[in-house]
Amino acid sequence: MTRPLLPRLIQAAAHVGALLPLAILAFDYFSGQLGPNPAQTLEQRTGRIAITLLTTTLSVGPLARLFRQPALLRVRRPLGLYTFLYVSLHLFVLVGFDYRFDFPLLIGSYLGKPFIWLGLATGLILAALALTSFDWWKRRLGRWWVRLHRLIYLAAILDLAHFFLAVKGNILSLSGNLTCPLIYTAVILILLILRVPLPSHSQLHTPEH
Amino acid sequence: MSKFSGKPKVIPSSEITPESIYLSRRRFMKTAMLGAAGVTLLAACQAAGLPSSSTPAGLPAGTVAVPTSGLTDELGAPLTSEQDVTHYNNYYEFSLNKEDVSDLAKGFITDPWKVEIGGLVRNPRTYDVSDLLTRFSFEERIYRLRCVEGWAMVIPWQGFQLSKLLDEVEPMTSAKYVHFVTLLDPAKMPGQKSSYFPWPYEEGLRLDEAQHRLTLLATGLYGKPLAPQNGAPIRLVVPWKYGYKSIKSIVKIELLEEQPRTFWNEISPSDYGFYSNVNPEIDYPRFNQTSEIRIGENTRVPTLLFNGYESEVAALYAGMDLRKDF
Repeated sequence: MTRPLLPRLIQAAAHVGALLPLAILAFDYFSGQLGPNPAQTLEQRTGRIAITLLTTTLSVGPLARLFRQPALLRVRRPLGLYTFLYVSLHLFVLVGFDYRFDFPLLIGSYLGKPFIWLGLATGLILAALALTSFDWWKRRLGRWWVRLHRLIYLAAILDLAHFFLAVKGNILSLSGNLTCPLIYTAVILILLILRVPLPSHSQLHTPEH
Repeated sequence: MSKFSGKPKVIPSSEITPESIYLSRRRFMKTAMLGAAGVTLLAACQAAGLPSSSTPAGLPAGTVAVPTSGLTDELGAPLTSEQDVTHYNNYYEFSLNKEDVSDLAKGFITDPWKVEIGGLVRNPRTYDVSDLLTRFSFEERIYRLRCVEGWAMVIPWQGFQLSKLLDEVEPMTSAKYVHFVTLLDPAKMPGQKSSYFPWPYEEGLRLDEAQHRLTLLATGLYGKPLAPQNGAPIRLVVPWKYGYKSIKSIVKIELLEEQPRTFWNEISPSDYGFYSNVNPEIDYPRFNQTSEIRIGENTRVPTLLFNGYESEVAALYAGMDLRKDF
């Protein structure tokens, strides 16, 4: 039996789109094109890719509803897992590439910095979601699985706070390098609002389950 | 004791200063104490054996041509490559992306350029930068530059001590601070169209900091006139403070009684104090100040109090609480 073309195309596009930044990153790394400060470049790029994918993951549900394409929901789990991949890479670049696993130095440097804790909290939530993303966990946790996976909204909010506190600027006075974090805030805010009136009818079940 | 590492650090042999440099460092300290241009001498002795230095076009006589390799600062750190110094720039008037600035600043016209010096001075006046180039004797200074973001460079600047210019305009006894302003021209500096920043860029020093012999007005680096991305035609260099204090493309210098407004302090006072002295003991909410990445080397080294200029500048802050006045 052949499935319709569009969902398959969307699925392929999601995988290619999520892996492409990694390929470009690897290419730039191995060809020495990360610029004069590779550590900072890698930290910023992996961070931006991660929050972009997180936002994309959040947008899958609303887009599926908007275009009446329940098949779209199939890409939600892979996109979430890719988000976790880039978040892990982001952390690895800081700990391994930049600080060469010098944990005393890392702890001394970042213990008092709220943005690091916000980033770690985001990472922990996404790790929990990635680990429980398998069907086995889904069956086992039942209703709790859905509740647990709503934590992605909390992760998004924590990630935004992490972003705002990591850039040079000040959210309170709305000044500094805020363009990027503000754009992500606007998009995530819209997605959160769309989430509030939960659809009562059940035509939106994930098709594969 | 530095908090850099949990256990006592073994110094690799590569970091131990060779005797020749150590000796020239001593010589440097002596000349420094004599008040002469110690760095010029250091550059000269270390350049010995290399082709004789000639004055590059566009720079006044007395400027030393800098060989592109083999030179170090007085602590033995090698110069950052000219390519990196001129292509990795924090200059928000052009771009927020450090690697885009050199391209975007390419057509920036810096000649003619006037610098107005006024406020609480007996001889307020406006200088043509070309005039300044002939008025003061130029020196070569190899300084470390520590960016608040946690990266650092070692740069051979050409310029003259700000104190010489201040002597000429004669600050009044009521003058306590020096205020600096960058050009405001959104047509030429596209970054100034962003409303997220309180343009123009402004900076300030206490008068005694401005008069310190390390405080430089630079017009060149690596033996060439400053490129636009490095703050052409004239910029401040205060090596013991975070890089953002070293304001670029200056059009106005003003002596004041009150502490002036500064750009980053206005944006986020909890991050950026007025003094902004490099200090690994003071934690910034965002950036890590205990260590730094030397551009081009990709290794972390401990950040030094006053960026390693403690013996020369600590006296400026005697009796002050550096945690409060950060």
